[in-house]
Amino acid sequence: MSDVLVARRLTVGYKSGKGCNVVAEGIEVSLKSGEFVCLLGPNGAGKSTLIKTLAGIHRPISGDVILDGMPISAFSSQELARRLSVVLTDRPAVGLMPVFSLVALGRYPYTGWTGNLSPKDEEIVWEAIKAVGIEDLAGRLVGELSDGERQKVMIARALAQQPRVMILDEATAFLDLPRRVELFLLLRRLARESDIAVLLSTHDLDLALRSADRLWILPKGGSLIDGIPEDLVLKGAFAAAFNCSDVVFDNRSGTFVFESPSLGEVALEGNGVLGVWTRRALNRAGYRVISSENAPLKIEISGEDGSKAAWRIYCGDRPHQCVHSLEELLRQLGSMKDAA
Amino acid sequence: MTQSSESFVLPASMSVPKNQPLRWFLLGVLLITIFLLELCLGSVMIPLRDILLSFVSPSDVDEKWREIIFVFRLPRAITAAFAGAALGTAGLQMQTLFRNPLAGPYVLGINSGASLGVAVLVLTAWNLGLPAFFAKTGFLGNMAVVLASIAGAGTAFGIVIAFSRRVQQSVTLLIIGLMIGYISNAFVEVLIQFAVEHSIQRFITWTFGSFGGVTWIQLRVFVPAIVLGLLIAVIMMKPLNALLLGEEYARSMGVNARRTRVFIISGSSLLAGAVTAFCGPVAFIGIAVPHLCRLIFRTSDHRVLVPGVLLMGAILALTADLIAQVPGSRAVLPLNAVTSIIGAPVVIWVIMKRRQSLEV
Repeated sequence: MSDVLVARRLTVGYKSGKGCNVVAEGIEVSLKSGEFVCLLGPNGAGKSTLIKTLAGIHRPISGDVILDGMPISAFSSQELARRLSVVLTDRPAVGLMPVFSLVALGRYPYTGWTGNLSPKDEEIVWEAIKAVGIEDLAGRLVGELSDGERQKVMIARALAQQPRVMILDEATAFLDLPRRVELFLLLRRLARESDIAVLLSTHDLDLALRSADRLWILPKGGSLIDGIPEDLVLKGAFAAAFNCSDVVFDNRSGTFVFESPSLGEVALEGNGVLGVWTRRALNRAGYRVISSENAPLKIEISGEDGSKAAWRIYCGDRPHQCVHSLEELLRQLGSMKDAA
Repeated sequence: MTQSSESFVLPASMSVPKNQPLRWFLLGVLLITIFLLELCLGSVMIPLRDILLSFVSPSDVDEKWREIIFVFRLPRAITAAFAGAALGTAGLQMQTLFRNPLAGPYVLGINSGASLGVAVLVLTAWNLGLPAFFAKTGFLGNMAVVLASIAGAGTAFGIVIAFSRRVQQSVTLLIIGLMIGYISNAFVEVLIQFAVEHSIQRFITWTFGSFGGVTWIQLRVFVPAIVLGLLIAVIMMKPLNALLLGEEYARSMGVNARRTRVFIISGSSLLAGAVTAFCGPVAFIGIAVPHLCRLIFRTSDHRVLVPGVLLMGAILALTADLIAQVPGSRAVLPLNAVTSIIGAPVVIWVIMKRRQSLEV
């Protein structure tokens, strides 16, 4: 694994009027081939500006972006397109173009003035189509595709450029969860199989934590933090970057939890799927779940998951009631609260 | 996933419908037919036999007919064919550059600039006592209108191209073009307010558009200008395809966005400017023809569409001119009335027929 894209003392931002508006500075980071990296950060931290600067779309305010040992600004647009490809959020408004032709546009930096494909180009286009798994879409018109299918087609097109680096700017936004999972796994596989460096900016913390080789976290006004996901969780990098008054990153589960106003403590006995979802329901309603025995309220789960489940509520040590759904459980707890 | 790449052999043919060659052949036949009809029909009918004969052995054809064919109808048909091809091609390029299905050859304000140029000449010349001069030298008068139009179109083009170097996104140019149009029209209105009646009549006649009155000598300027503009469009086919995905994607695939924009704007301005200079602001062909071609060829690929709009534009312009001349009568309809009456339903039909045609 070698460094393909390197940022040196990079300051990114945009020029407004006479001055420049610095969004993030002092960025020292590198992308290696075969690696799938996710860039995370709260809204307004400058993910998009950073990613567009790394892709050579924006100019840096200072510092360098180095691709294959050369500053990115030294490449002609054609040479750059042979090394670096991009996938963006916006859906292109082409209706009457077959998927194959759109993927074939990825051969743009290699073809002659007419854009006609050589047999070799055609083969590369098919390889890209197969790598992304959209063979059955190849003859369809782009206008007929769903959002998820269209993004896959755009990725195949980016792959047909045979890049060393593929940069995706929130390319999974607007997709439903299964489609997003599919794309994350696809990108990780492409990075490995095609030995390219893949950088994706995303808001999908959970998926990034589970699938990225490295994470870059860009906190608002801070400097970029780089590391493998688990290290960053343990170092508290997520909490530092994303926490705000109502939302807290829970290191144990690797997800964000909302701090609801607390209605008190509840002890919970029981494991498995029922345990997980009972805990979720209690948390959502605003109860803090503890394991201590001497809580004023205790809930015992019995039965398998599914229809036979039962929740026994104990008040101190006295059994209070037995309910058969979480909805009933929450209602009971609520009415007990009101009575007290 | 286990299939080998040899099992996929259809790509090139897949991007276009299978009976594509037949469509090209039919369009070609249609163009030749309408071109010949344009020579045959008019206030006087000339049989097809005599038309063909006049090219082979002119001495066998009635001298009056020969004059009608060579002095009037042939230059007119050539003008219509080239103007139609030019407007269709310019419209296609503007629709793709701005990713806007309603864009046409005149969105950059080229025709408004031209009309201001012509208005200045025609509307103020009368006040300056030049009508006698115009009346005496009909040819020079015509040429003066062409030059005024070129000057106006050139000024508008200069303003747009100056801005195009400074703006990030092409869409901004669309707004600048629109504003140039408003400003030009404002000046034209002021000029009309203070002009005498015959000069207003003459100016309004110019705004109706016409493929007639272009002489062989003028064609020596007109045709090469259009051919140059069409060549630029042919060279731009590949970047135009990339631009279908938007400017950022195009740039990421190696398109030099600014240079491409300057080329496309210059080429289409040349096409639109030349047509406006010699034929007046011919409406609607430039918007309708690209949509019609997308519908016929079912593709957004400019390698098909550029030759397509060229043929289709020529066909539509000739058809409109044929109708405008009301064959068999002495009456002549304003060309723009005819192009709009044909063009608007075409656009509506295309839009109703295919939702995706709204996308470019």
